Amino acid sequence: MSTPKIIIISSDEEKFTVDQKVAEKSGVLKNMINDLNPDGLTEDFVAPTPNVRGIVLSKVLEWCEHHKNTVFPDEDDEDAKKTAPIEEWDRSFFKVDQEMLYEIILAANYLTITPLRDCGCKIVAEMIKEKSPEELRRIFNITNDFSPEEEAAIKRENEWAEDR
Amino acid sequence: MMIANATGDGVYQVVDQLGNTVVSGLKKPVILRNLVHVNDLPNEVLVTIFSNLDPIQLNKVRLVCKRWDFVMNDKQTWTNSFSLKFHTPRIFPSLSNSSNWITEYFTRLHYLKKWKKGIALHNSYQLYDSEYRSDDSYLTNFQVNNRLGRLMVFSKRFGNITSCTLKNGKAQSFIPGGITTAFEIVSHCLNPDYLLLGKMNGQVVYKNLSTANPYSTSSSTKLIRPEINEDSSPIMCIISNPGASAKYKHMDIISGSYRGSLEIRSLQGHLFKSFTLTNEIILNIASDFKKWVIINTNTHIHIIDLINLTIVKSFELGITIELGDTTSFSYYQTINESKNSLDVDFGDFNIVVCHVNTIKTYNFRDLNNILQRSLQLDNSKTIRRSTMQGVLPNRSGSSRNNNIVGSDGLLFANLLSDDSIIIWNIRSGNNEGSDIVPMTTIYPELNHGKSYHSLQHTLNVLNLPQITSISLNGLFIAVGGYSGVCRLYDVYTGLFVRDLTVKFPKTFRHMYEQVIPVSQIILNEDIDQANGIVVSGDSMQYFQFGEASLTSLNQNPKKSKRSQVNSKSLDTKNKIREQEEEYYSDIHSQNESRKLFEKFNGEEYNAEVENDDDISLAIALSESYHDSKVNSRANSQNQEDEDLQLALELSRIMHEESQNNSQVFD
Repeated sequence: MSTPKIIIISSDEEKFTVDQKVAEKSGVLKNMINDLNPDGLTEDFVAPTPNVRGIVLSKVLEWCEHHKNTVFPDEDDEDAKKTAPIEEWDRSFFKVDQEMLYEIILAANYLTITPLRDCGCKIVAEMIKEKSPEELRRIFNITNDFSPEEEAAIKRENEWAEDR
Repeated sequence: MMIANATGDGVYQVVDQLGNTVVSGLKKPVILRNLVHVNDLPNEVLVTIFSNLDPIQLNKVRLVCKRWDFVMNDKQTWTNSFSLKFHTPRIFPSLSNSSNWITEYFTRLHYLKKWKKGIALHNSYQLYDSEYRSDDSYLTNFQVNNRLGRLMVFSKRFGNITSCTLKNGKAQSFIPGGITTAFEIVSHCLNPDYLLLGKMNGQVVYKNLSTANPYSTSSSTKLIRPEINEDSSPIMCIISNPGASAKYKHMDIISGSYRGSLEIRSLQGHLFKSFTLTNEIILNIASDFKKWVIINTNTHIHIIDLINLTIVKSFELGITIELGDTTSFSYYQTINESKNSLDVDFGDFNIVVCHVNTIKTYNFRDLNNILQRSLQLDNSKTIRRSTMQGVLPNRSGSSRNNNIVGSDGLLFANLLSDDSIIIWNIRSGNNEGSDIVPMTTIYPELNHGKSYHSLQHTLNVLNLPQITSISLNGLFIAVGGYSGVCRLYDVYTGLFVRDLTVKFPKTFRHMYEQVIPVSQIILNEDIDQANGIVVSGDSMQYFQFGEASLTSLNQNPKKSKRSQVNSKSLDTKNKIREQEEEYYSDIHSQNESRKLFEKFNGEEYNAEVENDDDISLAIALSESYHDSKVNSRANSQNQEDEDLQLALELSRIMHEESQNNSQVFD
């Protein structure tokens, strides 16, 4: 008998079969597998992810597959997490449109794949860097929902700060 | 084959992180998808994104939309952003004492720039009148405008006091102590206006320093605790209220004796209360002179309520204090050298005791439940010096305010026998029994220049430590070695910042011929002033960083009267501009604090509001008022008063003209 596999089903019922090690990059899946199989996996395990589309899930699992042997710094080690630059592979992995980027982050958040989520957040942060509020609204397609008075109030608060 | 959803009726079950089963959807979720937008990300994800940004960028982000502005005011976002930029932990001391993170950010940048890159001024000078040794006591008096700052040095051996201007050692004055018997003085307390001596025979002597002169000491000296038959044991420690005045009969002096007699008196000697702690040796006393007195004996800690004058709590120290050889000639002096250190953070009810290789904190917020934390160093290391972060006198007594940036942390540093320094936060958590965890460990490397090898040889032969003294403020730690060498390190990163001192001039020959340790480093509690003094025996080096101070120093006092007025007016003009900026920052802070007030329901940040139209005039007037106050305090001569009048007039003219957008001065 071959090693049991994990079968993950997306919201649009696409099935993905991966190694346990790959699936356990997700905190949620890891807990689920171990809670239901305290003595270890003896047969294939099916896990539905009803919030994640197949096309997104395939990207997420691609990342998990690539990083299955990567040891990430400890969750609590804020310093190591912060200073770590984005790897070249991750950077090209995230060369996707904005929608896919957010969906990957959301999926990573939902499946508790913290390093993937943090990496995605860094990518978004890089998009924000060095941009004016107007540029940011254009880039992220955000409507300005401040009243002119509110906007002026924040600007006034910021003005003295920017003069320095 | 096993399926996670065991119900089988088409409902998925997913176990969440807490292990709860969550029904998360139908078997065939209805796919009705809008395009996923950045604002579909939950708040905590936005916080993670913004945490990767520079604080200045965060300001722009606020303007994008309401949701981003909301997330931007999140404490976690700022804490992370600060940690990224300044390496600050979750709890750290604020430099601005503001609840506004942006204010804190710019204050921090300003101080960092000033201390790291500010043009340095160094003045070296020597005290002439006496032989000063390393166990002497130093008192500096940093004044706001730095013209009046004085340094006072007290020699415990002879009782002499030398004082001089802090900046350049000018106007040295000498008050002889008249002490002839060796080891007569066991404890002392030095204040700008008076000196208190605790003597071997149990006497306490008060000496008025403003009336004392080199020729007669008797008239200014008063015995406020005569020799008492019941307890004539040495006065081991004595403290006094820094703000005390001899005019009033307040509880201003607290002394403790070898036989456990604790006495609270006024400066005139009136005894308010005495306690006897039988079979205990009083080693240290600390008090805020408002509510609490903390006594540390060789076995216990006693907490006294100063209002009701009762001991409200006593508990065992939990550390064995080694007192030395009782037969030694200088036994009592030895105790003072080998006893534990006692520091009290009255703002957050923390008592810190350091001895040999143990650090202990006792939190007395709840007197019925004293919370202890400790750090036990391994046996190879001992604590050589302990110092609490210096805070401004107006902040030192005030209670901790969790709403200000960084939750109002307070730092403590210990110099260890292996020449390393640990820095930790007194206020970083009060879990009973939890260990104190150092935030930063620094292994400073001091650069003793050419003399390095010979010095190193001497230190090795005599088994002397590399590092002799430390001093800590909310941002930096100063580390001193020998021959006046002193370096500055960042307390959060542990990285070298700059040299605090320069080489002493060649004329200070003894600095190069002998091994003279840096005996004390005194940093101005006001970090903005960026000045202080490094003491090496009888040789001092005053340092000051930052341009502003240099321009005021370069003013030639012998310039013509007219040009003096001119430069003074220009100064005033600059000050007005600065204060206008301050005013706008205050307005900003106030807006922010209002928001935060609503959000965290905390204390409101103090800021004064004035009418915008009147502000320039008001500032100009307050500036003149401030100047006049300073001048009157300085007992200035008539000439300066005339100058002041001129400056006042000029500033008024300038104010009017500046409203017409015209230039007064070329």
